[in-house]
Amino acid sequence: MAKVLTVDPQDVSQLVHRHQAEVWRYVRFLGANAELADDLVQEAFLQLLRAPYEDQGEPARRAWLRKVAQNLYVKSFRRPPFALVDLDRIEAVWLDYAQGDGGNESLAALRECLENLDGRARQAVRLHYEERRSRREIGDRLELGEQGVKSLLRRSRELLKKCVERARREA
Amino acid sequence: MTDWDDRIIDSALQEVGGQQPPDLSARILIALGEGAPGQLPALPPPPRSIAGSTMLAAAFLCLGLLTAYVVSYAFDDGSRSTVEAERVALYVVSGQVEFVPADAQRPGEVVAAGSAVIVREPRGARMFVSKDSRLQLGVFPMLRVEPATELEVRSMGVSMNNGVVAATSLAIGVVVGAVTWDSLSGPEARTSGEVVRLEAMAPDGVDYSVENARLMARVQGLEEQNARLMMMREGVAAPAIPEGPVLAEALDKPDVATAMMFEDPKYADALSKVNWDAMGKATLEIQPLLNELVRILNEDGEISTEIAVQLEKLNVHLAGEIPTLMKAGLPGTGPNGAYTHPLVVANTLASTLNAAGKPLDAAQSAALAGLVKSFTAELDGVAAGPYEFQSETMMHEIEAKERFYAEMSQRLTAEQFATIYPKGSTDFDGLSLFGTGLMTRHLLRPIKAGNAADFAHRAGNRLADELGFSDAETVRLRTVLESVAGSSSGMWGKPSSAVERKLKFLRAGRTKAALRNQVAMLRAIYLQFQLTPEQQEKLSSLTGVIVPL
Repeated sequence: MAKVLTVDPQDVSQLVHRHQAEVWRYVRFLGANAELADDLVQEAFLQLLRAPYEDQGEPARRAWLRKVAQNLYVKSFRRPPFALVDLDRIEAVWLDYAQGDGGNESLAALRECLENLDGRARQAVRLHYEERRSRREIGDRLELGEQGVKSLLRRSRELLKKCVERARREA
Repeated sequence: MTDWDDRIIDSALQEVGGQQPPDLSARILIALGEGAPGQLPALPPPPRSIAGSTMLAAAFLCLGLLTAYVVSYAFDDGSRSTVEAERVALYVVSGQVEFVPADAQRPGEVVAAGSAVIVREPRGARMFVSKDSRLQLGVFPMLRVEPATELEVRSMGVSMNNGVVAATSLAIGVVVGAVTWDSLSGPEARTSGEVVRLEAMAPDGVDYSVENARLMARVQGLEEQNARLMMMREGVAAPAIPEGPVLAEALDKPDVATAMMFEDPKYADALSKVNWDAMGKATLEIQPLLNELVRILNEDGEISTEIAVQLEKLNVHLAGEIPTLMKAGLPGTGPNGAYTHPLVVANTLASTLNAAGKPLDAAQSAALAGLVKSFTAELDGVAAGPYEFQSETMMHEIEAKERFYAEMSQRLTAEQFATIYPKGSTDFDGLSLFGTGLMTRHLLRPIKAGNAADFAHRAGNRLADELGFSDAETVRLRTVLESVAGSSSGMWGKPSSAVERKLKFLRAGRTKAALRNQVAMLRAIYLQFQLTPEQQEKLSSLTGVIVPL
């Protein structure tokens, strides 16, 4: 029978530390901004700790938290922010990225891959993601049109994704 | 690549760029305490409201947070969860900050040490720092900013739930230069191109003592000024203005000026205001905790939050004395350059041993006084030395101080030595409070590299970014760096440990090897590239130490 997951405050803290990064990354991946992600993660944990819930171990708990956060995210819009038929695809992409550690390994691999990125791709990624420059500003710097910057960033992400996958295979 | 494949890398890149998952555990614990166990929380009403259950917790939090900045309360339906802060106080603790508002119509301002300005619409505001400075925005942790640093406020979000503040966050981009600050897990640092992300302190953790002291000092100063003016108007001779900072008197420091054992007339006035007893007691307690932190990390692979919190509390006693040490004008690289000056080390050593009940005897004190005198003279020479790069000055400073620590240790009894250097404390640079690793830890710029070629590629990219090199120059730079790094000893050996990666406590000796390599790299760049005057200046001022981990 389902029961409330009862944990003392210290264990709650550990539980949150264990899973919060993954849930937060997941809702950011879905499209939530950072502040909304904070709220969604908080609410997902509150539901886990207050609602009747039968704990079936860590993988099930992680999946449960993601699902609840996903539902909360979708419900925060008048219309779903993406086609609900995509949900299986979304889950598959996430699981492939996050593997068993909530995305930590992939993120470390991405940092490595970034160090190896060269030339304009490196500059564009740095300007866009670290300095938060607009496409126009990046275009001015790299002598590209806005569409050119968009394409360059997409190609860079594609390169980085392949690099991350390769790094994880080799690890 | 599908759209979702693209989005996963996009969100990961945003995280690498600074938008990292926050620690929400305290917020969740508070919210959890406000609701009845077993009760299903109400889902937010559509379209966009979340977390109604956190309202009471948020109300509790907002008491402290609202004192620092004002936010817009234009909530039509409670649907917006986040707003940008409208203004925030910028307080310059030391140094000087040139502040340029985001709105070009508004004038900029140079803010001197000990003064504050209100920054309206902080998003996009820029701050230029030309010399070592410490500044604080609102209730966020104090930032230590290196010279020639430019900062930009990227966002200052105030999360609202049903119209009350639930949490706040601040993101500051480091356009050029470097920033350090203390977090729960230890000192943090960000350099050019990186983003500082801070969470506001909870009300319980807010330390208003410095601000209170500053305001009390200001009130006292104004009252004195007022009295003098009134007396002058009435033709009565005005009393002399008391010397010395009233700030120190306003702070609750009953033990000020206790037990300064080693003096130098040049610095005596300023150092007599240091609370050496408190420094000694804190040092005695901190060192075993640091060792324990490392032991647990080695065994469990995790940083103990409990110990980190204890360390942070104790560190307040040491960090609180740093401004006084800095004001004394002791030569040295950065705040910990003053902290590791022989004069400070000897006094801290004496007070630590007093606190442990193992005081220095007369012969030891006399021997140490001699050492302090000769090494102080040597360090004065290093500070004035004709070195091309700041890193080079730092390297010579470290070498001199290491010889001082070695000589000092030889004067201690076995018992005293075990107190000052408990077993394991010298295994890592920066782990001992009596070592030069304190100076360099926040300057380390680790990169993952197992050999000289990897190192050259990544270090080359970083230095090329710093110096504004073209692609062709970057390629040539990597070749130069590979040649330098390949011939550096002590850089390549054992793979890095968790202690090195997570706490930036490098294995003993590794920091010095990396620093030597850094100086060699800078010299090679200086000699082999045609640099503009700006690039030469930049190269000369680089203090970050790139280290392979």
